[in-house]
Amino acid sequence: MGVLLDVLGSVIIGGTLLLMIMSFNLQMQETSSRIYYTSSMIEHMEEVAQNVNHVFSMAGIGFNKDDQICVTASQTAIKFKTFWNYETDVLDQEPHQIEIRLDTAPTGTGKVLDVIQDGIVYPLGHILFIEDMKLKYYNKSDAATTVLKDIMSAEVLLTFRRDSPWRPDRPLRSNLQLKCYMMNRYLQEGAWD
Amino acid sequence: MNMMEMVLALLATVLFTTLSLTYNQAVWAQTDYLNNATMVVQASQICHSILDEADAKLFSQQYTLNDLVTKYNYTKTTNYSHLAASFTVKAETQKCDGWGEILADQSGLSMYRKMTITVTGHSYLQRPYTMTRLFTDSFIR
Repeated sequence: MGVLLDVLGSVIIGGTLLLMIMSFNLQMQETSSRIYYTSSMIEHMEEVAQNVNHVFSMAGIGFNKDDQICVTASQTAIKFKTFWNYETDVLDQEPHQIEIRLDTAPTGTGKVLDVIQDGIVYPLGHILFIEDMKLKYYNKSDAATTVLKDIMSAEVLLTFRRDSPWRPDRPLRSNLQLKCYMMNRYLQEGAWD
Repeated sequence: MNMMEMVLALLATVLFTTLSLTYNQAVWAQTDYLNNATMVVQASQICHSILDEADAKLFSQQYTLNDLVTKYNYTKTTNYSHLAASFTVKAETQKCDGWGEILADQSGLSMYRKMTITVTGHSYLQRPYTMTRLFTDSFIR
């Protein structure tokens, strides 16, 4: 009877330990996947911030300071005029209209932030893994404004989202808040001519 | 169960508890690194926004080079509603030479200003994040 109890006890202890090890392994896999996903997301966030900042800084190139640069400006989109070409990253002879817009149509990879030039989305114009974008506009004196002619900078509130590799019901979300200045408009304001 | 078995069982418990703790600690450390990395991206954007603001105001001639010293020497805590977090931002601007060395005599003349922005204050941000930019006056008009 004593031997039987010993065997039963060791089986229980051994089983518990095996379960622990298996659960450790599973957790390790999930953690490493989350780490991989999150670290790639962090890199993505940095790139998006640079990209959005770059696009904003090019607004209004080639226009006079009294011209109205912004065509539309809402909480989820802004469209402005510039002689800068988003596709080629050079200045053109003809003006372009560039729009940054949150495409709310759900896709397999989440919502998309589109950079649209003259109505066309170029291959590098899709910014992925965006769940939400809110824009707030400011004038030259840093006061909030909705007047198109007065917009000089914008606060961009981005929410990134990527599905968790293990738990689709618990997606990985990260928020980023940045302020983008229309640098060329500021240059024109300074009457550098 | 004799004494030897009890000691062995105790040792096994200690071993597995240690293993479990070590493993959990490693996972927490990894999570901390990731949280820190996320906050570093945000801290970098805060620094950029302040330095870009100074750039923009200089471009538009709302500020002069001398204004940078008076307007960008502060420490303040700002709440970032979208992140549900607060950061303490310290801005320091001083006269410097063309290599970024701070001038010992700040009352002297210099055509350079060195602005350093340091972001701290969030528990996930393990170390202060600092960004520096050198400003100079251009005579190309």
